[in-house]
Amino acid sequence: MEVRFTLNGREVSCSLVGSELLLDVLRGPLGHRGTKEGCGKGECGACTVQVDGHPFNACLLPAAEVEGRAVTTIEGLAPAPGELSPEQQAFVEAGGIQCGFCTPGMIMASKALLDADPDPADADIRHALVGNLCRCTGYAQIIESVRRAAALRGEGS
Amino acid sequence: MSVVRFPVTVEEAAASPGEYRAGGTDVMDRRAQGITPIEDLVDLTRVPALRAMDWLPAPPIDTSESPEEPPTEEELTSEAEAPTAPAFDPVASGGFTIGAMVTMAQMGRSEDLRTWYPGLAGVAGAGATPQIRAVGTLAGNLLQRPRCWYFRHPEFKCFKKGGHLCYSRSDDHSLHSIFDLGPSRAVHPSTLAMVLLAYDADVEVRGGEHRSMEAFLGDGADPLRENTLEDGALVTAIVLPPPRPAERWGYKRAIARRRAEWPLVEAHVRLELEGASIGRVAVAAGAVAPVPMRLRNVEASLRGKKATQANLEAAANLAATGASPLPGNAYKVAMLKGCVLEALERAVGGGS
Repeated sequence: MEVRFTLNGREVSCSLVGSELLLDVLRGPLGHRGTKEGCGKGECGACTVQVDGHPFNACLLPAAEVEGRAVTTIEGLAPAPGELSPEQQAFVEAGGIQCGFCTPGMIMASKALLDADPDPADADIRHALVGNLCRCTGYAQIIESVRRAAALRGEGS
Repeated sequence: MSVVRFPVTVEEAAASPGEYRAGGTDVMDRRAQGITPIEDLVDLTRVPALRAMDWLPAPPIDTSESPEEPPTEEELTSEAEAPTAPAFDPVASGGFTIGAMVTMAQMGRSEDLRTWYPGLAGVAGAGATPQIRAVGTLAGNLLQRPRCWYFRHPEFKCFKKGGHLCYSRSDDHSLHSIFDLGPSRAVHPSTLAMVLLAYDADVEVRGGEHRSMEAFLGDGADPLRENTLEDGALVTAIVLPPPRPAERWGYKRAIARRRAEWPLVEAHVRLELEGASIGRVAVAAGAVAPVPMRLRNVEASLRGKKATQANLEAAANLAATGASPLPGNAYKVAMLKGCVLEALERAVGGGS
């Protein structure tokens, strides 16, 4: 079976044997290893991608299900090689990263929040990130990073 | 390798061999961990008929007792202004139907639900995580299997997997049931099932049968299932009764993490005040039994009483009547009374 979808704005296709997960297809044949596998059961959010603008756990999603849909991964955020998106830049500036394993998922969940709500309150940020676990930072810098991202996006608009 | 089938109609889905997959937040994990034998998947995400949300027409009015006079010739020929169609009134509707595959996020965003069934929209839109709400569906939520750590461990063959033991009874049962309704002490995992029980909702099964939530959930005595749905049957929708504008609601979830965690105990209340007194009232509790429970004794003790703190406390104190906790989960008895009281207070206070 062949699955065709839009990955970071480009049409891609991939042959499937059966019920392979989107996460495995992204990291394997499509070579997009920015999306991480954490718990593998939808609890940690390390594999968060956007499907049609909504945050999804790629570890729970059969790849066949994204046929005809638009998938955005962390690799799709930067506007050009060598540049960073406002969300990525904010996490660097505000120190929202330590080991970095949760970061792609954190940034994708943050982007989904900011796409829906450009100026979220801290409570909204915390609520939007409950599905993303970080074992390093204690979250304070991550909340600050999302606040910073909202400001950077505001400056750029 | 196993395959995923993508039916596009309910009939195709019913004819497809394999395990139904809705949002996949439970079935994918059970399959990956080898907890229950699942090979092929029947993915329901491309069945539009399962995604509808809409008001139902009012039932026809029975006019057999007093038939209207037929219009006179004069009335038929008069040039009086034709009556305009009355504005749609949800209260006079036949209720609201939510397709089985509507996601929790969609329920949380639905203006109809937020306006007319805020107690359901509020809970659906705040549960779990954004990633889970984006894919987790209404029927999938009702039909997810329990989170008991023995059931979820591939090496423990408990009652729920055809074995002959509930390991929690003699081992760690801190998160298990305090009402001993059957061989298994695992609690039902669905918050929405508890809320819909309080809403007197019906479950629509393929073929058109409607089953009350109470009948759908059953008595909790069969450890092999958490509902009365027959093997291979397909839930197509949930039907809510017409809304009640004067209704207030309250929900309390006792939880070990601020959000995105299974409840230790939870309670949901719908009630209407008639002056200072309590009129209609529904109270349901979850995470205390193999199925969510309607607390009829609590409801009965509130009906017609003034909504005073003393009366709310007296009613909440009845919540655990009949409970038989295990040594490691007796804390849930007090927690259940506390959750019911707080849900009642929130409802009387205006709803949240």
